[in-house]
Amino acid sequence: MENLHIEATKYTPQIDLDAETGVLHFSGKSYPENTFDFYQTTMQWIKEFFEQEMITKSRLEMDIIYFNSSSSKLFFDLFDLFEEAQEKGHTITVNWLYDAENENALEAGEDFKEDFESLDFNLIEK
Amino acid sequence: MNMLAFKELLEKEGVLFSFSGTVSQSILSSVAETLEKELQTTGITFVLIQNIFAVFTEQMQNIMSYSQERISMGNNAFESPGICTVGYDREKKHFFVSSANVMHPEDESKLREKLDKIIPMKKDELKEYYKVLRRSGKEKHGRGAGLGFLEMAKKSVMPLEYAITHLDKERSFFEIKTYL
Repeated sequence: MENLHIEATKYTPQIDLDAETGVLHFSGKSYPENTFDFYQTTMQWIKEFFEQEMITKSRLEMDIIYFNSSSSKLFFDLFDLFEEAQEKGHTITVNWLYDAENENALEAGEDFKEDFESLDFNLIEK
Repeated sequence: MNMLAFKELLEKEGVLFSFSGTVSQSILSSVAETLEKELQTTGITFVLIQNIFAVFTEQMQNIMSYSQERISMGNNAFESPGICTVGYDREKKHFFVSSANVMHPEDESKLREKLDKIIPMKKDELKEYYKVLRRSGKEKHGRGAGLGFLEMAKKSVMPLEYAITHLDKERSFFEIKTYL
């Protein structure tokens, strides 16, 4: 399975999905107008990654400074994929990174953590 | 056009920034970044700047997604005419983000229902309702999650204000204001 790399733009994050290490990294801002289209390739890649089960341990690194409401829904669906994979036996770690001054990012991370109690969900100040 | 009268109106209302024209994703991101940089020079907190940026983005994207005058640019991208302002209300001592676009009168009741449900909600109720809607995906459509007004209300320091003015059989004028 090939790795997926997507460069950041002003309104979409850099995405690095590594099939060998199982590290899935998102960093930057996320406020595209057609969020679900933009992330389609990424979501598809992750679904296949979990289905192929080449490795069963993965880590999601979310370093998102700002995201709009449609991205919030998309991230929810993303965490849902991770929760499903975990139920099927994958070992998952989620690291939600935030700047100390970015209370919104911390709060958003806390809300996701509450929604996905079964995930090993860490809020990490940068 | 009387530019002096326009300038005086902007000053009277405390408008710091105004945009009227075609709203697209590239215009939104350029304008939002400029706005962010300008606000950084005012000495207000990071969180307040981010909240203004967030509400501005939600309002501009609402214009792009819901304006009756929107034009498809292919690939699920849209442009549409709209107005958006950011300012500081000297009496209320709060920043505001306000926007407007033309909508179809037949969408009015649905929009009113949505906003009238959110407006009286307290912060914890807004947070809970946001999470419920996000989980269910009930309001999700091709371009959004239907969470934009809730996002604005969560960030807002006062209840959202809105008005719908009937223009003719085909058009109503929708405006919304958020205080931060």
